[in-house]
Amino acid sequence: MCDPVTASIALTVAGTASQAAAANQAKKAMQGAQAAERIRQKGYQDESSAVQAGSEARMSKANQDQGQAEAEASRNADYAAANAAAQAPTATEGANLAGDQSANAIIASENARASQNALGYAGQQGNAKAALRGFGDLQLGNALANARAMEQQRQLGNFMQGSSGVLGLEMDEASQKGAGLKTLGSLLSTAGGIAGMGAGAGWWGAKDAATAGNAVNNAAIFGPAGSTTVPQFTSANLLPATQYGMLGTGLFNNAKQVPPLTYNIPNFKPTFKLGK
Amino acid sequence: MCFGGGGGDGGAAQARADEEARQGRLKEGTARIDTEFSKFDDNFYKGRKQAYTNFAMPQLSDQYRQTGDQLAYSLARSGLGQSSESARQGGMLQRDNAMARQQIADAATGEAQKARQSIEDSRYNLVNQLQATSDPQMAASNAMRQANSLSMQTGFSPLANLFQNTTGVLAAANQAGAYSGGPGMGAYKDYFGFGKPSTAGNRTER
Repeated sequence: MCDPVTASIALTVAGTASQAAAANQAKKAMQGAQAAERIRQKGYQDESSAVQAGSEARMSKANQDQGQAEAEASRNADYAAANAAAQAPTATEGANLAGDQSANAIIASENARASQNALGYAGQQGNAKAALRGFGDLQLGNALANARAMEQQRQLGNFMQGSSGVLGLEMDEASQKGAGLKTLGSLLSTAGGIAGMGAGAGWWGAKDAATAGNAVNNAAIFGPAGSTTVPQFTSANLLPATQYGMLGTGLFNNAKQVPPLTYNIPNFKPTFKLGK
Repeated sequence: MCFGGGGGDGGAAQARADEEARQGRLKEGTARIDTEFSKFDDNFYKGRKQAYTNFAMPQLSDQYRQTGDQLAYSLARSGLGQSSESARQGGMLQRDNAMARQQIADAATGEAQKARQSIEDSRYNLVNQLQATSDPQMAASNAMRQANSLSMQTGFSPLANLFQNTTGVLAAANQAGAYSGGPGMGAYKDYFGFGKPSTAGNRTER
């Protein structure tokens, strides 16, 4: 069985190690929580970037030009169909007309010219309106697509906020990781301290143990028991103070020492009383 | 190990699970809304456009036929049935007809766009509601109700007179006594700039 002093030291060391391990566990857990959240946020960011990239691509000049052309073409098709369906109000051509056919031919020509003028006017107006309204159609499409993109971005933002809100809790919890080890470490350290004190106080009844405890304490304070040397200066080997630019006379040196003086430091026995 | 764990009872795992469940519900709800609204595709809007065209075009044709008839009678009474003026008036009527048809095409497209905006608004509101409640069941049920309501065809306003150019001319001619048998179509001719206005007969009635 090991002596109380050794046990005290071992307990203290074990306690410190446990506390360090607990702190390491907490640190790792916190880093893990942060890393996991970074990955989640990165995923949301990637989705958001994809949505944004889609919107930007849709608004590119090439796509907008194409959209404008398609919208115009659609309007033009509508107007062309409208013009084609607009018949002349009266049929003035053909052999069904009585009377002077040469006069009829003139009238027919007049009608054709009037019809051509009418449809030319309607066609010109249709083309102009197609350009104008095609742009409006394109803008409506853009607005609706952007609204959808914004909706997606809003939802992703909501997810990002929600996820980061949980991170706070996770960090709190991670900081508590290894709490058991930490407690164990505290207990061990305390036990080590008590064992050390007990050993010094001779709780276990052994004089040797108490002596050993004292020796430990003395060694901690004064160095090894028995004797110690204290440097002593002598005039024999001192250098002139002038070498150091000092005023006055005298010698000063710590380079050489005379044989040291020896002091005897007796062991002492602190006494403790338990209980009443 | 007895002392190895710790820190697992703070509710973070439950909070994470709850958050993931909430996000799942939002995604599910959005998908349900999209499913309900998937019926509102390009074909639906084309249908709206065609519905308006089907509604308005017969009215236009009717107006056009009546106006054409009135013009033909008017011209015939005045002896201008086969004339340059008849061709000119006919051309104007044809032009008005084409422009009115364009107008109907525009209105039909407008109806389709109005429907698209209205449906997008409803969808937007439902998604907002979903994000506020995170309740996909309610979102789905509301989406279905809204979608059905939006599917119902709303009424269109009847067309106004689209041939006022011609009918205005005919009314003016009529007012001038062109059809009263007095000065014949003198007033009509005067209106269009043919000859001199007659000062005799019924022209003085009014």
